[in-house]
Amino acid sequence: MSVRTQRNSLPLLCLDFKKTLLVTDWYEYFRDDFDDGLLEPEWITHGLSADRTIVEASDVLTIASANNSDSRWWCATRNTAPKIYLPLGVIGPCRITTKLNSFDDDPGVLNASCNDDTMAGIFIGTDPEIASGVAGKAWMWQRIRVDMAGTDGIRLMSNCSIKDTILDCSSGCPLPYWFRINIDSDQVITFWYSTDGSAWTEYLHAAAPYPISGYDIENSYVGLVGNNRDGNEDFSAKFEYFLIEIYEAQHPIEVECLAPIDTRAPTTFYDGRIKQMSSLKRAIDDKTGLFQIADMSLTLANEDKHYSQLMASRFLKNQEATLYHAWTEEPDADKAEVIKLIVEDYSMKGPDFIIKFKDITQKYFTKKVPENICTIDDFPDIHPNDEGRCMPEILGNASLSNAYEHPGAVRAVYVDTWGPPYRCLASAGLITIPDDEVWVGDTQKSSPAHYSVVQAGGRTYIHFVALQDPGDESVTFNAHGYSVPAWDSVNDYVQNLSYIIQYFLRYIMGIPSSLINAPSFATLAGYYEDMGVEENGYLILQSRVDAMETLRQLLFTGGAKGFMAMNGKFQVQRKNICNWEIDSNEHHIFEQVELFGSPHRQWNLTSAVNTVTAQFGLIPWQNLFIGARKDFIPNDYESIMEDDIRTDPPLPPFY
Amino acid sequence: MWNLPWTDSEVLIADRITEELLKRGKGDLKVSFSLPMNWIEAFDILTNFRLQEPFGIDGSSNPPEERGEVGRYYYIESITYDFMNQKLNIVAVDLQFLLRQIMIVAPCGDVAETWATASETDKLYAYVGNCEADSFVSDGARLKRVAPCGVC
Repeated sequence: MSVRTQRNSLPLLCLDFKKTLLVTDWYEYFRDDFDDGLLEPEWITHGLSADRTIVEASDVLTIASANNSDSRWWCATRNTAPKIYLPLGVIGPCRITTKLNSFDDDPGVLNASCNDDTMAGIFIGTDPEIASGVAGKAWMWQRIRVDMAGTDGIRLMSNCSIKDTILDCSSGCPLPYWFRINIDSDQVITFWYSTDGSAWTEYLHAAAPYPISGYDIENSYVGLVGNNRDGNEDFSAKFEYFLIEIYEAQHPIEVECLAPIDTRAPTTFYDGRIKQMSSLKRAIDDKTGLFQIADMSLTLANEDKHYSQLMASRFLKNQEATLYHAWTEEPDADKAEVIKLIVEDYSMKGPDFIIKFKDITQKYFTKKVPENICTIDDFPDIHPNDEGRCMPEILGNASLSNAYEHPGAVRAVYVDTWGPPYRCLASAGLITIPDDEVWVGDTQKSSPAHYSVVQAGGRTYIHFVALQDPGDESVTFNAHGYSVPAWDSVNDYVQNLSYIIQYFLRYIMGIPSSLINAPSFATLAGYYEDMGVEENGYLILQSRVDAMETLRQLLFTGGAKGFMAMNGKFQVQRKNICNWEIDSNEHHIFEQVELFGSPHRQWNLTSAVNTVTAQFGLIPWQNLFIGARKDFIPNDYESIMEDDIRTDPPLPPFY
Repeated sequence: MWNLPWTDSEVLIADRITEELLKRGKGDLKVSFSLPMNWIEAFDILTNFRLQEPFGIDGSSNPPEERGEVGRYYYIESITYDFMNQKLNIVAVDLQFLLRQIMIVAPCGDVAETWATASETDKLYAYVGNCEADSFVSDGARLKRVAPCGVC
């Protein structure tokens, strides 16, 4: 006789409690686990070619170069090694860590006339792309192997003229290897290695200046690099993660994991305090493409006054919680994330501790954008009419004048009337303004006779010369919006509607990259490319609008739907005629077998439509950017698009 | 009011308005039902699936197209996780509006001539029939759509 165990569904919740006490410690500042198959847009790449590649796949970043590809780390007049890097962005104490999982070179055919140095590691530099080697401008902390010379170890090097003592690995330097660059409060740089990721050894040596001080930390970049000198070898190195941590005072997080019954998983103990939890609804609005997540409440056992004591020195408001689902008979590692939540409120009532959750994206979506406002504090000489106006955010081609000779698509903010130069803020970021596409009132201005475009402090300004004070007139201009190299169109700025949505989420809404499913945006971008509309998206934000409404407009314009998927990341998707059948056949549900009860089919015929009223900015000019145009679109809407809109005079400007 | 403000492409606007009109032209077909928790990892929002009608399984000798639905196509609009009762409540949207957007034009040899060899897309839209007999050329099942070359 066999005994069959019952497999039960088990909700698991991990909840962040934040301590009220400030504790100085190491806190994560930037992390890339190379696990989503796409390089994060923060990364800058250099030295890539057909035989020098950097690929993120299978949860690692692989830097590879073929034999004789001359992939040299910054030496003499060459700096061709494939590398990725980003601005350090920190001036205080910090440390940069990576894990090198593999370091493979094919010994190939050794040639006494060749130097077959292969290296991979982490670097810091003030000018990572400079062509000529200047000692001390950049430091590479590396694993090195030189088969020809029989050397194998780790070392620190600057340009090729400084090579410090090689730590001998002939008796073994087993991979993986961890490398760390440490910057202390005096901005002194030291280099550390580890073979287990926890015990660290400083790389001490006699030669060369060490530790390194007086370095321009504020303008430094950090990254990963692979070097393959001309030695008849194919080379590749795999990195598992890249991490920047800062040392500062923060409220530390303490995680408590909970379940309906005590659950001892190998690495986590789930305290069986969940008494009751409401159902959780995740949905999209099929008509608008926006997602909706209902609030959830949780009742925890507080008979032992655990939370009464805990909440005396901790708080939960706005803290994260992750809800998982697991099966009682399966390993902890097999649990699946259902959703990330954020604590909205909590209360205690007798033996119950009750927590109310909202979807975590509420933290980012329930706000108005743009968030940057031009104030008299920041701009003491701002024009009174412009005080409190938003700094414009511009993506895509904001251009009106090509066809219509109307004033510009965007209105600048007159932030400095104490000229010359008379400064107008064009954008909160870096944009380009086509020559002579600036207007004061209805008068077109030319560059450089009347104005110049200046980029400073990460913003873009229009500087009017003497005798060109705009006064009370509006300054408008056309522009090519922000650039993110990984997302740019052939015109070198972001135009694909999918990437405009991603930019909006990440850099205007401020949603962390860890909450965004980047590959889904790449897939959607490919869809628009296939349609031939990859250069036809744009977004202009110059007055405060509801972020959720803007997202709805973007999704609906592109026919996409956006939602927080079960992996806790925001994902976009568009139903595709090309794969619907294959996808559908994965799950075939038989009502008689699978369902509880009978399904309810609804035709909703009252919502059937054969004509629509639509508004759109087909040819963008200023009054259409906010969708001001109202058109009735019968079945022959094309005729309206062709004939009506183009001949109508523009509506009055909305600003 | 349908608002499509963030593109300057006539192609995309035309595509989007057409898509929405096709989708909603015949109602807003949805289905709601409850499933055991076992499906939790298989289903997420927008996951496609097929749902078999109660009388879809038919062992009779009726013509294939009269044997009931063999599994209509949907995608998930809403999932409600009821952990305490260990079940999922699903609301799903008819996916077959996509098929109203296409017409398959192919060489005769590329379109299935029998129900048995037709793909789901063919069955719904484009298998070869005989106009005069109102049936399949090979097995006599009733015609649905496209005639073989030179017949009509």
